[in-house]
Amino acid sequence: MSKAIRFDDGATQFRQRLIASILSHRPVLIRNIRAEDLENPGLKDYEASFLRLLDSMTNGSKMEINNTGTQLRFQPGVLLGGDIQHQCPDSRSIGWFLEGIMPLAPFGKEELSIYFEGITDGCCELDPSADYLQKSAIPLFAKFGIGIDDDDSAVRIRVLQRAAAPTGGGKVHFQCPIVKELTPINFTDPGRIKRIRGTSISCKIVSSSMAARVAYAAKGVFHKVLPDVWIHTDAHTQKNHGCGPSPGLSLVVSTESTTGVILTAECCLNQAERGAELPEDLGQRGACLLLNEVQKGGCIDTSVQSLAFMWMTLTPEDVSRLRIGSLSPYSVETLRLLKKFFGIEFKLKADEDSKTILMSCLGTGYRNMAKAST
Amino acid sequence: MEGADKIDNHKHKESKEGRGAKEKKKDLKAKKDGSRKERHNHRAFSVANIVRTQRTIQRNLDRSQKKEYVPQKDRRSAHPNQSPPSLVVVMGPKGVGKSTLIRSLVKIYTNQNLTTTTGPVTVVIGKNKRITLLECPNQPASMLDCAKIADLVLLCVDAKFGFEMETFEFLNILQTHGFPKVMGVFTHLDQFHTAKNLRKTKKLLKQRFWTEIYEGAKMFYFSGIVNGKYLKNEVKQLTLFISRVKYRPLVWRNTHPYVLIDRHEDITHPNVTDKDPKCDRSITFYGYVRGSHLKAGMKVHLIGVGDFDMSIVSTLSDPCPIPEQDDKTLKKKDALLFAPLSNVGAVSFDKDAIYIDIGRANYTKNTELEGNNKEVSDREIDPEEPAGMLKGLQDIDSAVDEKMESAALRLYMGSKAVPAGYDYDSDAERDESSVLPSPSAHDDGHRAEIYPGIKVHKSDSYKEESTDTPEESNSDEDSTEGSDDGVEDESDDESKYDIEGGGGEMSWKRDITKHAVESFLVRQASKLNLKEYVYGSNGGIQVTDDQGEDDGESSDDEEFFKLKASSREKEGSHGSTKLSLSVLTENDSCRIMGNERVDSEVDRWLSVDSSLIESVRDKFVTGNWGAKQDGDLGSFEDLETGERYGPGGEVLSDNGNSDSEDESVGDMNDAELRDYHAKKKASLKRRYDQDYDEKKVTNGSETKDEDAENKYLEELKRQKEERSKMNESEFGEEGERARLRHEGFRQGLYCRIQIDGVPHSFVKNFNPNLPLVIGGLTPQETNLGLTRCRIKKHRWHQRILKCNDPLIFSIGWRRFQSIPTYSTEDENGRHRYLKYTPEHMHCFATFYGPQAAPNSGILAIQRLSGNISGFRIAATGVVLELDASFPVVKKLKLVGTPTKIYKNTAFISGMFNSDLEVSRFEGASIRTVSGIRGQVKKAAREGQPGSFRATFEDKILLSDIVFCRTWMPVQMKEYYNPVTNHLESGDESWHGMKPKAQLQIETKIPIEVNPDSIYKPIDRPDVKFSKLNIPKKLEEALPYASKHKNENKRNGKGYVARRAVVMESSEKKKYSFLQALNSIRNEKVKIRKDKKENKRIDQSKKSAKKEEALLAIRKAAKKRQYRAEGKREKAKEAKRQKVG
Repeated sequence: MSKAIRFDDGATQFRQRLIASILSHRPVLIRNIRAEDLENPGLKDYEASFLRLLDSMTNGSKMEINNTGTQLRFQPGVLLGGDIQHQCPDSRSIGWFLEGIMPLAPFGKEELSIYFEGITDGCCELDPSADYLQKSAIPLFAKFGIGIDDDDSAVRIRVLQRAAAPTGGGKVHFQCPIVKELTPINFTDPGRIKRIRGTSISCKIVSSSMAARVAYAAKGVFHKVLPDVWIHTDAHTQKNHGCGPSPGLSLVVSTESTTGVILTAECCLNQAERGAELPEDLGQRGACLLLNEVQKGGCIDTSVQSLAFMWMTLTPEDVSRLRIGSLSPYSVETLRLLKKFFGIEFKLKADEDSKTILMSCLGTGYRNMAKAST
Repeated sequence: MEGADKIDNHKHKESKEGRGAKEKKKDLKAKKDGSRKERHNHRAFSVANIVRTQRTIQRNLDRSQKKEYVPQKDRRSAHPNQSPPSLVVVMGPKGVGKSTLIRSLVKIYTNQNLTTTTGPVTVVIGKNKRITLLECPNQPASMLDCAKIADLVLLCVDAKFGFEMETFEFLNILQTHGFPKVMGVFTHLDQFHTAKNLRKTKKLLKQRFWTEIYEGAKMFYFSGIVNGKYLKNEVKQLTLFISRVKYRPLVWRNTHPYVLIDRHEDITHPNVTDKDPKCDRSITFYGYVRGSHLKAGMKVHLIGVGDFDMSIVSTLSDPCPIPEQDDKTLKKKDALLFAPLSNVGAVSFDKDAIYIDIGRANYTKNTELEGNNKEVSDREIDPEEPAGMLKGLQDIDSAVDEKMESAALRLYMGSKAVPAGYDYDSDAERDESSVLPSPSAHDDGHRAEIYPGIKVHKSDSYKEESTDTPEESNSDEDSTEGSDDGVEDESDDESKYDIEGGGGEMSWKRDITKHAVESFLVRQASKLNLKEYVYGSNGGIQVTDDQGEDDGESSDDEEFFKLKASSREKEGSHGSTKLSLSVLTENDSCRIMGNERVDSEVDRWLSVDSSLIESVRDKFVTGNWGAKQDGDLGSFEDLETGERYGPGGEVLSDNGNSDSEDESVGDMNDAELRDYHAKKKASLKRRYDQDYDEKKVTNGSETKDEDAENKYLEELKRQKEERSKMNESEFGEEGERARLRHEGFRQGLYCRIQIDGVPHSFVKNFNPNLPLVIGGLTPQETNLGLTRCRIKKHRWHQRILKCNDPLIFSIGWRRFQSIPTYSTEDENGRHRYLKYTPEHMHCFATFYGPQAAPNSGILAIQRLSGNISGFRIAATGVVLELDASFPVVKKLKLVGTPTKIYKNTAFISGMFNSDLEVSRFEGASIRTVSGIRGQVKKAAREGQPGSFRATFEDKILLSDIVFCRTWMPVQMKEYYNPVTNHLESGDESWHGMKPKAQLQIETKIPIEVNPDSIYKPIDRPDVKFSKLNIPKKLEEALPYASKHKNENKRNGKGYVARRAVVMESSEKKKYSFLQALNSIRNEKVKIRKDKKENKRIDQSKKSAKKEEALLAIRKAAKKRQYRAEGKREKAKEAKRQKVG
């Protein structure tokens, strides 16, 4: 076993470090987790929950947490997959967990199928929602050759029951087949956007017209550039579909281009931060977020960049190329992390004409060693 | 062919009259009229021979099918210049002529005589081919190593003696570790006296060889030895085939880098070794990178020593390069030889010193020989001459420090020389200068002396080379060199690897200035350097702008830039441009955007002038399609060919470009011109191919299955080609250093790998005859855990394998000893423990050790050392699954006896020892010997501890035994011991854990016997069943038939016997007649029986006599045999004594 990689800056990048550790079979030592916070030092409940999730996904993992919870030593085991049920705490939405384990999903012993319980909507300021991941990350799975063999074993994210923050009760099912190795990508042509699709979701709001008003407002913005816009309304009440006890209103919109590039944006009502926001304002905000994403360009969304980078390093020893709009701070940290764990340095090339960045790297030749041969 | 017209061949004579002419005339007429009828002769185009036609079609289809295959991933470089020399392993038992074969091959290739053939011998064999010859020692460990790295195996077999066990063992090893190409070499053919005998043996050997490898495997017959070498013609034949071999990609080598070590140096500081001779050493290893990319941060396995981190990896110039000139044939002077461990030329490597043979003892200066009028420079000393270096040293006219002061260093070919003392301001430069060696004494010492036999193709390029190869110095200089290195180590303990430019002339370099200008412009335009932004200025390599370099022919200029990069920088060392971590909070959210706020932008998007919307309008299909600018998203330029492609991949017309190119053709030099033409030709070919393919598509109107299949295969092939092209071109454009950083050290580069912490016994016990291999490991393979594999005892191995006996496994690069647990899979998927491997079947084995990817081959050997008779390979198999734990279970029967029985309930004791155990087994199913099933209920409060209440489906007997069938998990033994044979002295001295049986034999401990396992006579007392008592009440209730009858015993005979019978006379007559008949028959039977008995006695007497006679004969024969044997023994004994 190789030496542990040490991090002294606490819970930053918590999920990715653990996941990189599992994928690279290198132990990690994370120190100073909220050590300055005298009130609540140490790991938060959602982080502990994430550790439990990893524990149920692996065999032979060892986790040592000190008394105050400010230090975590993690020794990775073998990824298992299989049927897992996970109860997420109400402090973080399901999206945080889902986003966290996505890079691991195709590398288990058997097909992964997780039922999450917790918050599904209303946290998109912090984390991508399940709907967002469904729209923007699932196409990426196919790009890397995951779940393209047959329909039975396709990658799926299904929201079984909605529940907005702050009280939980929603259910999300995530299913992902395993692969022996990923296929390298060459994803550099953004094409031209041909259609815009979206869903506006309302949760436990009596008037279903709220969702329609969001959709109408968003469409108003999009119609300036494209006629092919279609935004569904998805109104959930506790009576009809059964949803969580908290009200919520959100919008997920995505563009699709001639070359299959899908850019997605989402926004939601956040009472705590914004106070009362009109549904129209919400719709317009969501539309502008998407236009922002379009303006940045590139072939994938800003929020799934780190997933793409992670997998690009895990491809066979071939060149993977990807065009992105702009690097988010989170993805920059991912790049550094990948260098630390896998020794892969990306080639970053700014494309001046389109104001985008061309990323390319040579994969590490990662193979799913957990998968048994017959 | 002008004469062709004149040749008057016999023409067909049309008949002018007769029936044929008439018919024809009629036909012509009818044709003119239009009244001609189509004839329908149904046999006209029919198949004459149905079966044969069918077979022909079938055969053709089969053959075409056979040719098609899904293209395998092949990581070998397509360019011979960039691929490492292919590794030819010469294997064979002792005394078959392996070294002779290598010597003969080297003589043919380079016209040099090798005295010894230790270590790898690299030779250039063609204008774009070179091979490394390696002799495989006859030890299992080394055979394993050789099999893992060989590209081509020359199996030497003594034809006079026949095949030996080693050959078969080696073939088996090859099979499990990926089968490289194998060619047979049969030697000692001159020892056959008769041609017939020779022919017969050849045939036999061939048959055996072909069954082992494949029908038609290549074999060569070497008849005799002349001057210590095989006959020239015969060896030539072999060389022809060696140069034509096509190598198949092997999975393991496609995914792992490896380096066959040409030589190594101990660079530990002498002070340290003096203080503590047993301290760990830092050692540099030299060799070509083969397989996939060797990454600087990678863990490597030094086979036979252990796992290590590479502390420094750098490239060196190729010691045995392929000639650069594009000649038709290989020139004699380019046929280089590189064999650092063999006694080539004037330098010989001893264990701890290097000796240079200076030829003559008395030395005369060249100037004196040729007269003073001619100025002789260093360069004119022939570096190939054995004493060239020494002469060079003696020719020095000024002291070193003087030279240092006046020394000038030319950084690039054609650039101005930089004089000593010139200061650079930038940190980068300073950083480098600390590493750059002073261009003093080493500069004068030509590299050629170090590698004798290498003809230096361009001596001035060597002059400018960095000299971080301490081995260059002779033994005198060793100490200073070592101290230098020590200082260097201290100064850069941060640095994990440095990268040096190097290698041959790469294609990307040809228009490096163009790229340099382009990239410069890009960088000028961009506000900040992305690479620095992400990886920090220290994280990247301190680039002193290698793009600014001239594009001279010399590729060695780059060697100068020994670069430093730290793979794991400390936080504080990040450059100022690097984004600090503080942006990300401990929230761990991907939505944190730094200072970017979207809210304010909502208004801008919705503002009236909608300028922002206009800016993205062209990204939608509704936008302006023609607005594409030059270098827009879709089109790209192929950097290799200079071709431009549209968004759809179609070739854009490059009129503008070609015009300018045409102009520039005039002032190109030869190489450029050739390049230009090659490009042009390639582009033409591609265009033609495209057109042709399109035509094919349009022609084939029907889309048959076959077509679809072909298309699919073609598509696959095309994709593969595209991918390999992209892999090559992607990182090339930014310069060699960037390339090394992004993709690691690719195959074909000559590398120097420094490894720290190698045990001192490696240096002490180094044996140059054993191959030394460094294999790269993926992070997963450094993991220790359990491996489950499917394994089969080798059918030639004499004994079955016992569970928990240690075995030596060879998986991937590693070989290690571990303790396997054998198991078999039951129908319900349960893995049941096996004490021994089945004799002729596969079984599962689970063992602890470093893991390798599933589907890798496994080979098991019981012992490496000692004299082992028979086939040494114990088992072969394949890795199935890796995990942290595997359930293997053993059957366990718990036995108890009932103490008290109520109806269907019984209290059972003796099965468990405590109530706790019982509660663990509550609900478990139990059974009596008689087959009554039941269940464990609850622990009983009283009675023996561990007794419990159980219920059964029927009442059980007190004499019944109750048992519970359970499965015990078997604990795997976590033992793992790498075979470190390079750390041991002598040939076969590595000893691992010994199996129990061997220990018992060695220590003379008798086999321990478990008294419980001994079969004892079973004492079964007769059971006396008590009388059946039926209660009176029950009896009364029974029907009469079932009632017990009160029958008393009869006294005397019954009435039938007692009564008197008076017969009638006729009756009496009949009765007496029957009696008479019976007595007659009885008499007859008796006589027959007597006769038979007499005959039997006679017969037995006869046979006894015969037996007696035979016994005597047998006895005599036996006596004769024993006597002869005894005589032979005695003779042998006598001989032994005589010898002794």
